[in-house]
Amino acid sequence: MKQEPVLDDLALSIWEQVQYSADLCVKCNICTSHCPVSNVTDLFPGPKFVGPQAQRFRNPKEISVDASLDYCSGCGVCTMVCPHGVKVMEMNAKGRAKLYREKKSIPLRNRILGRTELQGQLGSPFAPLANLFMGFKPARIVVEAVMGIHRNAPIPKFSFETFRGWYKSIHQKSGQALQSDKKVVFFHGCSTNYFEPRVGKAALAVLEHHGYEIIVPPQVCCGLPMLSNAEFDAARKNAHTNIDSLVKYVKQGYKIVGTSTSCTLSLKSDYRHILDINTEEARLVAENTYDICEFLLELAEADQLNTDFQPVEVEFPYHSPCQLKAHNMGLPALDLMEMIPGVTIHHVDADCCGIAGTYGYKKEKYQIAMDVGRPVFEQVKATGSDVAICDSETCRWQIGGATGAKMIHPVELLAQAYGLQDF
Amino acid sequence: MKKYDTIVIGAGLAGLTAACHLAQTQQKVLLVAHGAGAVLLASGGVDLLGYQPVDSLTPLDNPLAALPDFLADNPDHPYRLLETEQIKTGLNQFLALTAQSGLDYRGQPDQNWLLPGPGGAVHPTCLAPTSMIGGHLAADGGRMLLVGFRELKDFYPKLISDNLNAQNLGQKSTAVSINIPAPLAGQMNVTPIELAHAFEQPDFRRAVIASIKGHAKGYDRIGLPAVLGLEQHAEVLADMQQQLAKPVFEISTLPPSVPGRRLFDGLRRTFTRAGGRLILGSKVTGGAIEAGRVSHIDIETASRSRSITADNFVLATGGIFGGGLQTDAAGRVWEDVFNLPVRAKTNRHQWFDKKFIAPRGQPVASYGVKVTPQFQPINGHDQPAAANLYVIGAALAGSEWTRGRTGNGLAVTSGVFVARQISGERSVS
Amino acid sequence: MKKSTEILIIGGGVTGCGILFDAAQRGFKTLLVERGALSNGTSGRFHGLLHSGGRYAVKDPVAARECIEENQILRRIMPHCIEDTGGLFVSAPSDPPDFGDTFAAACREAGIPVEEISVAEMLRREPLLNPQIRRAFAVPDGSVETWEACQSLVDSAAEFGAETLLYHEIVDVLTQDGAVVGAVAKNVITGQEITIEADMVVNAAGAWGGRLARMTGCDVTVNAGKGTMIAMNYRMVNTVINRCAPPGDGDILVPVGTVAVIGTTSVGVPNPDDYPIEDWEVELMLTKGAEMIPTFAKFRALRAWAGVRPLYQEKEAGADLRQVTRNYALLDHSDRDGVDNFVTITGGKWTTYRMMAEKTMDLVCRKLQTERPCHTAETVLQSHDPGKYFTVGQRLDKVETGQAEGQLICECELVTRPQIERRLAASDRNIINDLRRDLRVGMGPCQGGFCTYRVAGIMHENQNISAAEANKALVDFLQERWKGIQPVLWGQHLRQMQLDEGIYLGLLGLDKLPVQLSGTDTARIGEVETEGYFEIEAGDTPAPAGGSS
Repeated sequence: MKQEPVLDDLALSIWEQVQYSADLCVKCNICTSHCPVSNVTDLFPGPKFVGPQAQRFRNPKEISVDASLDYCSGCGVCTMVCPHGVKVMEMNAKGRAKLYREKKSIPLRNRILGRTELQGQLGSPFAPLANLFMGFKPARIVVEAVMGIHRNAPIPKFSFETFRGWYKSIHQKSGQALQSDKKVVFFHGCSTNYFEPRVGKAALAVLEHHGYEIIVPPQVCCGLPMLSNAEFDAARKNAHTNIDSLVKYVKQGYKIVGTSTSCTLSLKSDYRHILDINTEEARLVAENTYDICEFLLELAEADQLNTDFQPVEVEFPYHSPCQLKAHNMGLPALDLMEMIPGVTIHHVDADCCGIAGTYGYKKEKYQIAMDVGRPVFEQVKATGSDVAICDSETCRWQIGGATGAKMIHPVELLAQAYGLQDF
Repeated sequence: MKKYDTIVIGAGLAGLTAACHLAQTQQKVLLVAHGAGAVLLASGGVDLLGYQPVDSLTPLDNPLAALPDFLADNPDHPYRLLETEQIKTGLNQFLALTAQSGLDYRGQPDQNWLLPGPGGAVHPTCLAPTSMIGGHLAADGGRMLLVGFRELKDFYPKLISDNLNAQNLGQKSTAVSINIPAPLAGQMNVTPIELAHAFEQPDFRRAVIASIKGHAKGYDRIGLPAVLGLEQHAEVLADMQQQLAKPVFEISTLPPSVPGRRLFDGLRRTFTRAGGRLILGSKVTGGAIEAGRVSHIDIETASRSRSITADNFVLATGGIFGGGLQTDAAGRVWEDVFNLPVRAKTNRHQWFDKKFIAPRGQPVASYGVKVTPQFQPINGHDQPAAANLYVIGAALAGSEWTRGRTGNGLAVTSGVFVARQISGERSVS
Repeated sequence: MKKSTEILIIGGGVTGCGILFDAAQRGFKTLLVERGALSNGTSGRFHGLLHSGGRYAVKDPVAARECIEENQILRRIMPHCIEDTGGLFVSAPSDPPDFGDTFAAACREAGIPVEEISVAEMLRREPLLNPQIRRAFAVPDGSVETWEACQSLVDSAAEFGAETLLYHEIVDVLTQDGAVVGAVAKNVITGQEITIEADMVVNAAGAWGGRLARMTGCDVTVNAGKGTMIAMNYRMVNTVINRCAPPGDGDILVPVGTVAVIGTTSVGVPNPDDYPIEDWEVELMLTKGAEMIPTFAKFRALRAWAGVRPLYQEKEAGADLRQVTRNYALLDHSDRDGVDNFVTITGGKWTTYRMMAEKTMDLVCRKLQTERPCHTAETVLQSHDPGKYFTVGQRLDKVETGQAEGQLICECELVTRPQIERRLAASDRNIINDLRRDLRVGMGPCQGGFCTYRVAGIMHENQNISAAEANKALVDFLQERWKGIQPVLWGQHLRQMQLDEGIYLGLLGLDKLPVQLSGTDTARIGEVETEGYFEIEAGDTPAPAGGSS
């Protein structure tokens, strides 16, 4: 063509919707060869099959015929290895949403697994009892039979004290909360809030150590568990609530920092590419969201990172989650941890621990998840360490459950090295 | 902004080779790539030169000796920038690297392996894994049994054996197809990678061997599709040979390639264990050349662009297939990161031959970036475009590889050459 | 070898197949002869549109009415060959704005259901369409599966005893005392000739009909109007999109199976077997596509091809071939040329094949002085899923629900090994292109990159052919694919073809393998010219392979 037609933003943004990237697929099968799920089970024909290949047979006017798509775990390794830019994982997520909308009704179990906020709201106030119940084998057998959540699935322990509760009632009131012109917004996510407030506390301590005042604005679950379970409308509601709350601060020039690589990935990417929320506000939030280690590493690059580390003589394995690799930013946690004197990190050389968010909790997928994760578990055990590091909460629970290791977030190691909080 | 000693762009064999070499010289190396490279699709061997002239039907026994004639016929091929010693060094470095990566490659630059390919044609290759060299077609080759699996659609032993026999190569082969045992029995869409995982289970191997044993009498060696394990490939091969009491060798399948995967995984691991940093899934959207040097590159992350810098940059983005060179309907051909000058015709009619199997390859496959003898890209004024930028592999002009069979050979030799240059192991003249 | 029949039909396009079925159903002994495979000619090379009639409403109300009537009949009798896509006529900014009113009125006049919808609704249905489009009208267009239809007609005709001879070219028509008495057909593969005696010969050879008629001494001019089309790899729309304007080039985009076809041009060509695809045509299709879909050029063009419209010319044709009648011509050569037992049917549209067949057989009955009524309008053709329209997802559904058992050989188009093996067993030809036509093998994004090898392997195992013959089948098919790809080869599709080259040359070493030519000659591919077994493609003259080379 002699002249390139002028394309406006709207036309481009529609064309950039992930389903059209199926056009790029050359059928090389690099994605399928790396798929952790299709390599351990024949229930899943692989990302090429259910992604760009099946996409050519999908007509929005026709009822979804996809069934095997349900076995996609959403880990995203396919999108990462594709040399042509096919957004396989994202296209699968959309296909699954249509499948459930039309063909299957979303099981109650999936709705519950998708509502981590609700789980927390119900479980945390009764944490001791809830944890007792969920740790009681016969109870788990009943839960498996009734709900389809596998009896051995790594359900985390509720924390009676939520992060928000601690932050508002204790930290702010203590007079020790740092006030500063340098502010940063903290997106804690459900896991930090209801299950692992210590991760949030460590992050907060490290950020304050660098002179940042932490803002914890109103926020709801990022919505990823609902999105992964095909509840796009519910996920979108949460997405809009979060965007509206967070964008105010972005417009004031503050960055958003999170400790869950899944929550931050949702803000950075899934809201726009899977939920198709293409507003200016969504873009601003996405562009200004950082993983905590990413944020700290950028401080280091600007020579603003405090290097007053005390030596920590440890040798720990570190697993980089799929949803961290999907940020395409390298491994900032590894770079940071290697700055601490005395620390030796063994980077686990396997792609996926198998849990894939809520996937590995489901009775029919539990064994697949365990088979997928086996190389990770074996490498962690082989180090002989009783502590292991991972940036994603569900991965921590999965690896901890399978190996017995105590699992920490990289920022907890940093907090220890700064002398702020022992892990 | 974040600074490395060297940034390598592209995770194909050229990029991985260069990156590994540099990481092992204590450099802080970043390897950033849009996706995983074509090494995953190719046979796993390093083809230095297979045929001269390229449309000859007789595979070369001695690629090194034929190089001068090849370069006389193909004066634009980047091999012209490498002396014999540098080619040897490149190949030796590859052997050392793969040995460290748990792979066992064999070969010499003056002796091609003549291996059976998945179509029954001869695949001349210079360096090949031990699992494949057992298939070398020598004049006194004896009798080969080629075993396929009914469930594996990417391998047809009868076609291979009939084609081999029709070429009078000094051996006689026979084909047999067996059923795959549990747990993959009856899985008609099994992939080579899944089979390779299964072969790492002793029970599975035992069952396969039991099926083969019945057919193996009277044969000197046994060929199978390249599915004999991934990480544990050495144990798998050893076990198979021991239990069958005969040499066993692998033959390539359609992509994705298991030997290619072993190579990719092995080099990746060597790279990260040497301290290298890998970012996969991130497209390099641009790079800036200021005052004769690359100042930084921009990469796409999940929600924003990021600038990174280094002392040196190596462009290993592949040719058109790799995505390093882009083409469009208007006949434009351009290099996608730095917009380096590309030697290309802008009339699409001149890109192609009327025949799919073109006598000298498709013209468009020769398009690429012109470089100095140090592999620095040349700008519009015939000067190096940037003092700290190098181009290796299929992105180079003149690197058409399909007919002469030179692809991985160029990747490895140019990758090592540039890496050694950057690390100071060889001086820049 | 000799054969005898009552009605000999020459030409296996949709018209010929329709006549075969009609004649057989009316109780005639019938034989159809076709020089290639079914729908080898124009029927297999058009854009796949089932007309609502909207495209003719303004200029040719008679044709429009015929279209909508037949549209409704075909939906009843062969729904499994029709996708109920619906159609839209859209007024792009450059189209005359009030043409829409003229159009809608003309549709109503012709009995074509038409409804104007809002642009917002149009965008909801088809998000990629140009939001600058001003008006949109919905009509009952559809898209057709032509090979499915021809095969259904032939299968249904076989139930009544009809016979079909494929890959047989008519080399002579036999006359005696001013009447046609039969024809001589030559097997294009083996060269063997068959003499066929017939009471009536029907010339349904479409764009080649003039050539055929002249064998009997009848002066019939059928011009060949080439139309070029491009299949776009991604099915960007699920509704037929027409421009709401007087007919012009590139004014239609049709979802056909897994692709979207943009068409077409209109260029007179002297030889219906030999015509190029020209750059300006490709560029025009892309430009026109962009008027309907702004991001059109960002999508991948899969391949280009052309078909020739048979344009019957009684008088000198004008410069614009669209003005030469698109209606059909039914010629009784007794009246016209003094040659008995011979009729020619030519021109027309795919959508009206049944009506053309009916009229042809009515004439044949009159000439044979017998009254046999037509029942094709009420006869539902056989299908696996009676009463259901074709849907693009049906193959995926079959695989997902386990109804399509076995290995997926062509993964792009979901074709299984049992399907391929059944087809191979039913044929004595080892031509991968036949499998492509019947099953869609090799028609997806990789254009045979993976499946061609697998099919050759299966052929070699099953069909008792030598490796050299299998190699040739492989090479021929790849070359056939290559011809259609070159005119649109750039960008992502060029990356695809480099992968395919990597597989066939780098891995399989096809350039070094022996290939069966004829008899016991074998040669390496690099040494000789190879041509497709039987392909009427751009730039080719048909050469019976294995024949006289």
